Amino acid sequence: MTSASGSTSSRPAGTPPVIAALQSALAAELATCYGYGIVGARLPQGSAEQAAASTDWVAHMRARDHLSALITARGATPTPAAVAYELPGPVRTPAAARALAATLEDRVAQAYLALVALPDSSLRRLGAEQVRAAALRAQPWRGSVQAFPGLPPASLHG
Amino acid sequence: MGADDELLSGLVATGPARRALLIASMAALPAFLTACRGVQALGTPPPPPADVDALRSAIEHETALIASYAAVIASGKSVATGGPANSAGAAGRGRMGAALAAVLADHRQHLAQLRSRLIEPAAHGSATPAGAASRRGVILTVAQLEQAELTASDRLIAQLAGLPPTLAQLFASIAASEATHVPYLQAARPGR
Repeated sequence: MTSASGSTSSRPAGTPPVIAALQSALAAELATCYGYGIVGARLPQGSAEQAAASTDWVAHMRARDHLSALITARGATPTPAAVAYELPGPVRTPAAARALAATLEDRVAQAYLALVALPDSSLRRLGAEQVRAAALRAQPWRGSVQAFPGLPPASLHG
Repeated sequence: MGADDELLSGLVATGPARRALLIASMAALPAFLTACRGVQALGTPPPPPADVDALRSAIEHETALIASYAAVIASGKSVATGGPANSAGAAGRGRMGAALAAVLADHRQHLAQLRSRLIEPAAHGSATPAGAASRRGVILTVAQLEQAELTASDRLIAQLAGLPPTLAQLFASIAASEATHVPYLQAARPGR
């Protein structure tokens, strides 16, 4: 989904809105990488679901690294990961782990929508593809579909 | 039929009259006001901005998808694709039927949000006649619906450049939703 090469012949512009959106997406990815560790620990050992959590975790680590590279290429310093992140609630069962995974993906999708609002067409496309990737990962965890992944209800008309 | 095909494929050269269109978003408002100042009383209306065309196209495609889902559900062929033939029992039909209904509900929400961002005079509000897609007779199976979802998702993402930010976010979100319909429908197939 995400191109590994973000290189251009000249250094891309790192305007404050661009850096802020990239840092926000990075922060969401860092929190999600942490969260998937909790998800994986609460799913049955050796299960297909645990393997799926591992696959999703790797995808987020790659996305994290890509965002860090994009920020660095724009002359800014990527925000470091926190030691721990507050979870939305207790995660003691496989059902709670699935719900956490879906929530993590929702938050990542919302963060990437900030990239979609930028004028840079390449960042806009990256954001859209990552919103789609997050929604695709969230769907099996949730077991249902969503009409507007990443969009807060307040942003919808009517 | 021909006119419907042109509208649905986005290739129509002379669509409905294009005046008095505006995007119902704060981002588009300044541009609209600027255009008003520059138009003389009886002058030629300015062409619609690209985002109006993109929005109208998205509305037409969403309308077509809704008609396709309704046609597949009505045809009762929802289990005639993908799964092993012998496993297509009542339970399988019920599960697929529920999945199709859920996805159809998503598309209706997509259409409502897209339409809420485009204000047209009443006389021009029927760019895509009801049932246009079903009359085309193209989509008959769930597998074809899945392909249409992928195409729709890619089409929306390809149109992002140049759109107002809020509309681009809506397109991206809908594109993501439509992509998720594919694995969701696949998981509902008989035998899964």
